[in-house]
Amino acid sequence: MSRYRILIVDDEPDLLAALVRSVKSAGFDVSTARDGESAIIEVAKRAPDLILSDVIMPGVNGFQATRRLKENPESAHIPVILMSGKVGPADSFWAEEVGAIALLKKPLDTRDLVQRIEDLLKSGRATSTSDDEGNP
Amino acid sequence: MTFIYSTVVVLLGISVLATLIVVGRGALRRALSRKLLKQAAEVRGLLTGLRERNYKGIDKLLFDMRDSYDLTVIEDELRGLLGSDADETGDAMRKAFDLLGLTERYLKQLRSANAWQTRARSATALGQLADTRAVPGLLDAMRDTREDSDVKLAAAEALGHIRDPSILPELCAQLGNVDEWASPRLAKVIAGFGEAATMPLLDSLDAAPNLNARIWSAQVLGKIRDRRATNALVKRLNDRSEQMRISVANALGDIADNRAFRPLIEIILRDPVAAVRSQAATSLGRIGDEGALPLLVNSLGDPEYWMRFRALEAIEALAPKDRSPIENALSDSNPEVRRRAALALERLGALEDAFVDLVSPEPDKELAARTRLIAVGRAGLSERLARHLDADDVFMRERIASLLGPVGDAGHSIDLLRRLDDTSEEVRFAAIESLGDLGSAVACAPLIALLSHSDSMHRTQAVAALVRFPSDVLSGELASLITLHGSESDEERFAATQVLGMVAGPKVDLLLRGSLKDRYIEVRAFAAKTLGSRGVAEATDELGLCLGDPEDRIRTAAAAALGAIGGERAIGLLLAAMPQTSGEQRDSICGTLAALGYDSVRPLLDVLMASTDVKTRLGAIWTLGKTGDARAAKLLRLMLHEEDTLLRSSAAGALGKIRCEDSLLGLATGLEDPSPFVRSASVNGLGKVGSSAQFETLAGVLGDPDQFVRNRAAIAIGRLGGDLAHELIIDVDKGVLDPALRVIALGLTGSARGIGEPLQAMKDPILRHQVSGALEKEEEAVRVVFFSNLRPKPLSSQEVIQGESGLEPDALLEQFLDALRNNQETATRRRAAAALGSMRDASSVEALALALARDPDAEVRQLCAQGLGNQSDNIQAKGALLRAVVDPQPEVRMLAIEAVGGLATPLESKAIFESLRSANHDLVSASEKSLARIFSGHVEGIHDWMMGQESSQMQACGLRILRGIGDARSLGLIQALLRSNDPELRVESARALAALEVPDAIRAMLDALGDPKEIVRVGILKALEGTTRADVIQKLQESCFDPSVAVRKQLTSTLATLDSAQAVEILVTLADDTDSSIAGGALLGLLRNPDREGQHRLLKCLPTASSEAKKILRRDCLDVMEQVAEQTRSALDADMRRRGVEVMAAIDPTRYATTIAEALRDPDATVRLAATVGLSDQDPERVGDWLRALLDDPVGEVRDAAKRALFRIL
Repeated sequence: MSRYRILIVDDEPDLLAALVRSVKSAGFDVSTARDGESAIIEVAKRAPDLILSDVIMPGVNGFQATRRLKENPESAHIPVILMSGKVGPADSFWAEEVGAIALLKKPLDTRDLVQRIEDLLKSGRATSTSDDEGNP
Repeated sequence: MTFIYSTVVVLLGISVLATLIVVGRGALRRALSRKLLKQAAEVRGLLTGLRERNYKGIDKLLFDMRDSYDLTVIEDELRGLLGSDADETGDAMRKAFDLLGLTERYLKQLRSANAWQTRARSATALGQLADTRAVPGLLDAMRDTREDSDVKLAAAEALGHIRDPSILPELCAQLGNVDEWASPRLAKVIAGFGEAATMPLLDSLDAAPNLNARIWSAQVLGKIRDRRATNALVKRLNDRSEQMRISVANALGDIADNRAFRPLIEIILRDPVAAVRSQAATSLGRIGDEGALPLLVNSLGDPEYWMRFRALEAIEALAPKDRSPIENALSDSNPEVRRRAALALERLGALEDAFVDLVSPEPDKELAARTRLIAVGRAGLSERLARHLDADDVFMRERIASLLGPVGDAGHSIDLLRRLDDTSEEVRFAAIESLGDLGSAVACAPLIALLSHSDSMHRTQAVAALVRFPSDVLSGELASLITLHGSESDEERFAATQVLGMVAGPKVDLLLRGSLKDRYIEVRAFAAKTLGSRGVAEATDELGLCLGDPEDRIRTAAAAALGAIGGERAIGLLLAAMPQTSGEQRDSICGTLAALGYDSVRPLLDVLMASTDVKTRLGAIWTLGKTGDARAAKLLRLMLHEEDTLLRSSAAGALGKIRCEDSLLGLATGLEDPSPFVRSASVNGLGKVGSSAQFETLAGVLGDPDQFVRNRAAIAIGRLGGDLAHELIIDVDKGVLDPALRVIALGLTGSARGIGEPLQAMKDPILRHQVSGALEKEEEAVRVVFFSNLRPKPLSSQEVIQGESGLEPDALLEQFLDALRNNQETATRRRAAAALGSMRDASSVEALALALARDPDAEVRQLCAQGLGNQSDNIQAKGALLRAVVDPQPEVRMLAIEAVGGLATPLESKAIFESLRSANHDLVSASEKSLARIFSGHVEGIHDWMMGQESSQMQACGLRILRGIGDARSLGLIQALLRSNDPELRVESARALAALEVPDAIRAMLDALGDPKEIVRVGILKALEGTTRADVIQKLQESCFDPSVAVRKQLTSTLATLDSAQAVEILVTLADDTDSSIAGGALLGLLRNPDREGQHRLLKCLPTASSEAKKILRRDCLDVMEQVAEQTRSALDADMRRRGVEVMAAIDPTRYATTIAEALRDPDATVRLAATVGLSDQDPERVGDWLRALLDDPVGEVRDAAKRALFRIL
């Protein structure tokens, strides 16, 4: 059985590494990108089942990247979870506005994060590319 | 040979004979001439002798002469005498001409001679003879279209000589024939008769069947100027023919009789034809009564330019001291009127005064003169101004130079260029500025030359002038400008760059892009700004570099320019710059972004919202606010929850720029914020985008613990405006608000009633100073509204900025007074009348009184009447109101009558009594009330008046007045009238008795319940509504059996008002009435009855009541059921609440289900139980959930009832 693949996007290497560790240990495949522009290129190469992205990044930020992915029919179905150090009602609203399904506050509780990812993927909201390959 | 000889001889003979004949004829003619001359001399001598004897014996002499002298000689000599002293010849000469048969011949030749000279000569002779027999022939000649013009003229002149009044009727009758040539001459002939023609002309004016004759008669009467014609002409002012009215108005102006003054005013006010109105205006001017001035001034606002033109002429003729109306006409929309106004000012010597004032050291005088002269110049008299450019007085030269620009005649550019060499610097500067206004090509090069002037002021002035030149004119001098742009001098480069900025084309774009790197900051700033306004996209990157310029000004200018240029590249540069922005830069950037529209802004917000930097997030908020798009409001509402106070208050401020429901909800949330900054920003926002629906919310904020917030709430309420806003602010205790802000808030409301208090407040100099200071801190829009509201005419933003917005109370008052007296715009006068009325200031009484008497607009007069009514203690106000009681407009009369009710004495009430005869019901009613107040305490005055009235209509009025007074002394009179034959009077009497409240009066009314007329009995029962006397109720019981349905129906209504158990009992009886309308009325009466038992008895009656009666109850009970619902919700007594539920359930449980359901939560179990029962037959989908909630009720009985009800409906 192929595993779900998660694309993690963050410009801070330490945080990126920590997230990769946590997500991998939960049994997911992981790919990474260091900014929004790289993330869009990565998705174009191989679409992940879910994207976990920081908001504040140099160049194309998380909001911009999400909007562009959602505007593209090829990637519009991929669920995006955004992360930010500042999560107020307005930020959450804007995350929803650009097409993300959630805005999580940093620092993240990794167990909670993994649980959310699992729930999301199992509930079928994530339309995995793996479906095409006969995976759940 | 012989033949030749003979021929010569014959020829010689013939020539000699011919010569002899010629010589002979000449000699004969000479001899005849000599004879005739001799005869002429003799005849002349004889006639001269005769003349010395006053022509005594002329008939005998002529008889003798006829045989001795040639008739032609005699005729010529007699004609000579006629020509020299025709007046003295009189009858004798006519006799002489008759005797010789000459008159007969002239009469014949006048119409039949072949030669025109003969016909003309005859006409002239007949005229000289003044023979009335010639009149028909002369008239005929005048009218003959084929007749020679000299003959016609001679005939007209001849008629002019015949001054015999007996021919006047015929002449007047001839005026009826339309003849463009003859009619004016005939009119002149008739006018020549002078006052002798007045009566025939008046007859013609009055009775001529032909309109043309009447019109000419009017015109000729004007020329004669006989004041006897005034009245007849005035009558014709209302003629159906407008041509007639014009002629009459003109004639009245010619006569200039003061008696025509009023009628002509009426014409100006009412005539529908502009030409008539304008002629009336002209004539008013000729009459010369200054009383006409206000109306003529008013006519300057007439929609017809011709009327305005004539009004100006008339005003000029009156030569008023106050020339302001004429000056105002200088800005008339019509050029002819403007020019006429300028001419009028010149003729009245006002221009000379203006030239004197123009050099006055007093700034106000100078400014007024300048304004006036500019208007005169624009009206077409600019040459008169330009002449003063060469004046010796330097001030005159300077001021004339400065106003020639605004006048706008480019032809004066040459005159102004001459002044560039003036010895005075001020004159030179003024000329430069005006040359800028005119923008003439001829001035371009000389002004560019000034850009290199050593004096900076000259350079600055030249730049200021040149930048106003058209681009194509400046292009002609591009080479000179480019040379200057490369100058070493910073100032010259700056000057040249500024002028170049006005020249279109890529060449200049390139120069400006280069200027972004100029060493001189002014050049860089100007270049950045100009590249933005020119939208030079090629400059984007260069401007992007300027965002990092060390100078803040350059960064701001670059940001604005990039915004103006737009495009992805420019926007990206702006977003990136946001964290480093100053407030001014941010404002500029956000304004630019917002201008792209909300849809384009959304992706940009991805950048701004992804930042934790406060400045960047502020950028998001400001941009959202500036879009003004309702879709932005949701995000802004959420930003009211930001941690940073600045962000929250900015979000509230931004919401205040978006008018939508979301915004209002957000701003209402902001009012709960812990920070007063956020609360005040929210309040401000509500003031900007709210409506009267926010009054309640804002009124609550007036109790905020922070005074700053309270003040802002008052301002917000004021901005929402209106009478309610005014009341809310007035009701706040004075200490709660800052006094200055309270005044501002009141002024902002714009309520006409509210202008008075701020104006009065301004009289306190300290407060005025505070208000001034506080206004400085307000937005421009607030200042504009405030200053406008305190003036008769709204100010523009520009006027507020320019400082034409003083708060001097006397000046403000004077503006309102002036507006009421002189303003041509009706709306402005109305506003002035309302404001002055609300001020209750004695100084305004005179103006209000005058306007009440004279203003042509009925609404202005109404407002004046209202205003004067507020000053009841003022004698002048009272006098004006008393005069207005006879105003032609019923509304004005009514207001005046209502107002004088509290002021007038019985002696002053005659006109009000007259108003009782009006057909206008409201007016009669107001008059009755007013008279009741005036005669309160003098009731006998009404008795006396009633006794003198024969009409029952007037007596009914009197009874209503007596009812208003309610004086027991009227009892006898009213009782007497209760026995009147007129049933209407008996009804009014009964009503009047009800107002007396004395036992005898009630008794008399009860006795009258036996009146045979139904309407009287109904009237009495109605009058008894609300009475509490037991004997009355006893008596009413008898009416239960009245045969009339209408009486019994009224009885139910009367009983419904009586708080008495006995009344309830009678209603129960009536509920069984066979007539369902009575039964229904009785049920309704039980519901309405104030006695507690009423509803109880209603519940008992309902099960047995007929369906028709119940239907009537359901139809008519809507208003009282609102009270029952209120009783159900809030009565303290649980029984009353329960009763309310039962009544609603009994009358219409479906309609009142929601209210009954509210009672399911009542604290009292019996109420809940009643509600449960009441809902037990209703739609399960509607009431199921409500009833289910009761299954947990603590009281078992309620739970059981709920179960039963649910079981039943499910």
